[in-house]
Amino acid sequence: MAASAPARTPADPTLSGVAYVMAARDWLAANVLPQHRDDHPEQIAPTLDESKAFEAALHRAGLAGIIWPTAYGGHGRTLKEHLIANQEIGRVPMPESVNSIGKELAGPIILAIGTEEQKRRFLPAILEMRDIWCQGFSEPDSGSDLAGLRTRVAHDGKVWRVNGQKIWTSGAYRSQRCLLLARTGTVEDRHKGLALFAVRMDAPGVTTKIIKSMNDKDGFCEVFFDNVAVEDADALGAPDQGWSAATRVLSIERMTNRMYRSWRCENELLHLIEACRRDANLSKLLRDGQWRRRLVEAQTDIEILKAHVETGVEFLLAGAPIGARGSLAKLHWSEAHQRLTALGVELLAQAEPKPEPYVRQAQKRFQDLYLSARAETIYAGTTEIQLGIIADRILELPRGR
Amino acid sequence: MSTHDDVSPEDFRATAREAVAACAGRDVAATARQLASSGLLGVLASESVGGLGLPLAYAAPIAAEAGAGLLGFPLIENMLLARALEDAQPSIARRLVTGDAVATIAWRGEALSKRDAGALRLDGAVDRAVASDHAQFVLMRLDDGSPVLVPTGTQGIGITPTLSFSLEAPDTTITLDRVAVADPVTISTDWYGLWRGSLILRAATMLGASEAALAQTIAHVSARKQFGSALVANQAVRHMLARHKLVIEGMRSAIERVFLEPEPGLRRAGAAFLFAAETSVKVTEGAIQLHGGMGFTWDVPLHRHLREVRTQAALGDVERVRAHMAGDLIDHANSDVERMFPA
Repeated sequence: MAASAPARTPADPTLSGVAYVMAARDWLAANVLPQHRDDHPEQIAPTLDESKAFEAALHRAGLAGIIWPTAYGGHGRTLKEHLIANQEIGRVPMPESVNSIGKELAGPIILAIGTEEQKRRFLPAILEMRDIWCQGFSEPDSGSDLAGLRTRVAHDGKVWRVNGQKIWTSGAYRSQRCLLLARTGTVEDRHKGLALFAVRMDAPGVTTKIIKSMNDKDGFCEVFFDNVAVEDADALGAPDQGWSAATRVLSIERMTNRMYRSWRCENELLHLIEACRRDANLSKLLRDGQWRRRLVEAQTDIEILKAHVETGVEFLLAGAPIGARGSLAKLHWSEAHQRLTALGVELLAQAEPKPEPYVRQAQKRFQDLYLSARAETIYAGTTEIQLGIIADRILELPRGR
Repeated sequence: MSTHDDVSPEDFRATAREAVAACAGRDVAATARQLASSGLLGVLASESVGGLGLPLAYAAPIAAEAGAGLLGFPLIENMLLARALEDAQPSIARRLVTGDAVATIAWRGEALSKRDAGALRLDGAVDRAVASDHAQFVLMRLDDGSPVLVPTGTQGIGITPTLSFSLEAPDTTITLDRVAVADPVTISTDWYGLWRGSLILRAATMLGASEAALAQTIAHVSARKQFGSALVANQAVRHMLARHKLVIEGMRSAIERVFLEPEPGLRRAGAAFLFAAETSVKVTEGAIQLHGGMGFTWDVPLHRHLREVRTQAALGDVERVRAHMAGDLIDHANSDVERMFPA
């Protein structure tokens, strides 16, 4: 008897439509380890090596680098398929990527402004998880005000030399590369002379120091650059050109990156309701008008979030200029997610004194989410920065002075 | 929507804006004729009754302009009914399309019905019927769930104005005292189909009202000077306006997303309506706040926009939508939802 054909993964370019969706769903169901799911009663966080192996497999299965060109390890699919795959990824409570900076930030920027050699050298390594990237933008004295950054880079005739300090650099301690933003001139130049580099984290003169975050994680770091040599080959675009191209890429990225988030929020909401069903105290609250109202408000928040994303994709497909539209989705998501996690914490706090493991895991998940969500209105442009962008660039309000 | 490629929903916006402006100061009957002359009342009804036979998405910009321009007319009801009646009562549908007659819908309550040899006898009361005192027909729901169209002049019908926020098109309560309906009209769409359509268009109306209030507020804070600079120079003011823009774009995306799906379900339509009901109130209240004392005057029309969005929220019945969505989300079983939004 002939062996049955291996199941087709979404990497199979002949799959489309419903078959593509089903392949993505089946692959995720079979390959996300149950104990790594955030709704598993005995959930354990994956090790770094496990995360790398899983994410590399995710790429081989066609679920990472979805819209990147095949020449650079991508799958060459459409933005619509990217959306569809992300909906499936969102529905599965899998661990967060350890290389989202590589896949969502560095990769798209390199695709836009990198040389052919850089694309071939950097991009497959990101998808295959050989290179984890971190983001060297924020500094102690310039968080929101990036144009005030002080890290200097100067060419000494042979190589670029970097001196300065970055902060809030998530995952720097485990990264192979840093997407570094530095200036060639003086601080007074503001946006002029900013340049991007792909700095090796094992280069002499690079040191990292972990900062423990308020959710008891060792996620982010300070990174110090002491006369670090960077080859010409690792400069991403010329000074000025690199940064201005990068900001254009970023305005699209704010719309397209981590597109699964809306559907992950929905997964969190459904997990919350399921946990309530399984607990004697909480199942009573599910019949209480006050809690029903808040759960519907959370669902409405999530539907609006999906609407921002799905209409944004239609917008991009129609070739319309995306402008600052990504700020709307980012702002709504970050605040809606904070509301959802607060609801989860407040509701689950009323569980039975000794909740069953499923409920206890939901409590743990929502506590973690609630704490980590504090960062979501701060990173990638604080709420106040996003409101300023909406006022200045979308509403185009006059200065009034 | 491939058969409508020659015309897009947005093509109706400018026409609707002009028509709504031309209706200012007119009564309900004259408004019907004005809107009909621009082809707006028949946008959904089929060509067989003089309409355009377009999908619901085409009615959304019209509803939005009605919200922006404070149209005093049961617009949503007439657009939906002209389509719903096109098979069962083509002559009435045609009169709605031409503006020769006006119809409305009593959105809340059920008439107590008795059938007697084909004839129907109605008692009780229904309400949330916009401008039924100026309409020739009213659609109401019977206690068996089916909708029936009744001429407002039928003996035994009493109409009293409800204490409504709306100045433009107040809603009414209809009392039924042994009302005899000789030939009950059954319509092609069920009650829930109509309600679902109305929720989406009410969201669009609230979006239009919010956009108008925001535009007026931006003009005001850009011109009004205090402490030596325009109000818009204050970050508190800029951020408040940015928040209004954020929710307006949320409303717009939610409505557009409803139309991305061929048969929109409860979740999308209900969420678009609930979000619009909640946030349009914030935008219009905020507009009044940012206008200062001027905002509290009768002549500055922001209170009309606030009244409009509060009225739309009541007509669509926020609590009922929320209850249906809760049933769907939390209990997974809600026969009423399945009837309202068939899969």
